[in-house]
Amino acid sequence: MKAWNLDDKILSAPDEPGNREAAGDGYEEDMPIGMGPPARVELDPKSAERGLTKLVLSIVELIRQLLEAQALRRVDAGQLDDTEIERLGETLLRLEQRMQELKVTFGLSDADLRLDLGPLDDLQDVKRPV
Amino acid sequence: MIYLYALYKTDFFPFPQISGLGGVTLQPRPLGDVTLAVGEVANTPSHSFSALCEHEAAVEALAAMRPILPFRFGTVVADLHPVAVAAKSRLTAILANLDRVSGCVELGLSARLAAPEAERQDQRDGSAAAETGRAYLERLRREADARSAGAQQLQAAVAGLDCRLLELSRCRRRLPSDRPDRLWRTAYLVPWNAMPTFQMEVAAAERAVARETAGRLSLLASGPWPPYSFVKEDLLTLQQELQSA
Repeated sequence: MKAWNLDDKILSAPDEPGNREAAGDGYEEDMPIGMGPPARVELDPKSAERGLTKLVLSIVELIRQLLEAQALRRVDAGQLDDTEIERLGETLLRLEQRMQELKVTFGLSDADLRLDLGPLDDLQDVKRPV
Repeated sequence: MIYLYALYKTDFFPFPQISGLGGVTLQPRPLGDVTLAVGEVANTPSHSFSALCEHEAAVEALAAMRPILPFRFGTVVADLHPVAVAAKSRLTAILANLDRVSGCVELGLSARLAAPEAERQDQRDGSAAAETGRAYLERLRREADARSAGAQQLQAAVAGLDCRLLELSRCRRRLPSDRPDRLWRTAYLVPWNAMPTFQMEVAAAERAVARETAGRLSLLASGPWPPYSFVKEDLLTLQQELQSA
């Protein structure tokens, strides 16, 4: 019996079927493999700290992205002078860098910090300033 | 502990020899009109890619034999009694759901945007330290514009595709995107014999999208999968109860 292989699950992708590079790294995130465990705070005493960290960082990440969206709106509206734009941008840049460091420290990915509120859909879609 | 792989309508067919997590052989546990496919595990399995693959291989081997409703990875109970009670109380819905997915597989389709995340990664890896505040805001603006343009291009490129795929399918479900560069995720419940047509439709659309967007937008179709996205909400609730039992 042939071993189960994720590459066999690509029906259609850019260029050659089964080409992971063409489809991009992490394409398994697009697939319902095992349908993953539901997103929730881990209440196991051994992993509760990580679960809470994930929850807290998810909220911080959401707020950070909302701040970015609001900053772009203010810049687009011409409400800020050059100095303020530079200061605001630098603050947001440092926040983003700090967030990356925290994600590395706690072994979390971008996908881990997505807040899915079920029927309310993906809360982080609100960050898109379009 | 008892690990739950799938649930199916009780029948007379022999239960296949299938290895699950940790190489443990799956066993059938009849609960009247429905039967659970279960395996013994020492602990709740940790979420790892290899464990997901083991779960997936077992569930797909079950799905190859008969219509099933798959449990999510990591569904573990200490005792089957609450499962039996819950299954009995929702038997009508479970049987209807099994009829709904019978003869079908889940096929996934997603669209992803290439440029902004790559640019962001470049910034993270290299020149971010030297980036000015204004340059950072300008990069955010470019990313937002790229997402907006990508969404518009996607809309134009796949407007007809979704309708054609829906015609081939029993139903479809839009899924929340888990990453900003994934603009679109949809699961289709497709009869087995419609799979080749589905695949051809997506491949043709993929070529058109790549041409029209100069490779910035790409489509990825995956499957066949057990019908994870088409297990009704009440059954998902059941699964949550089981996990907290």
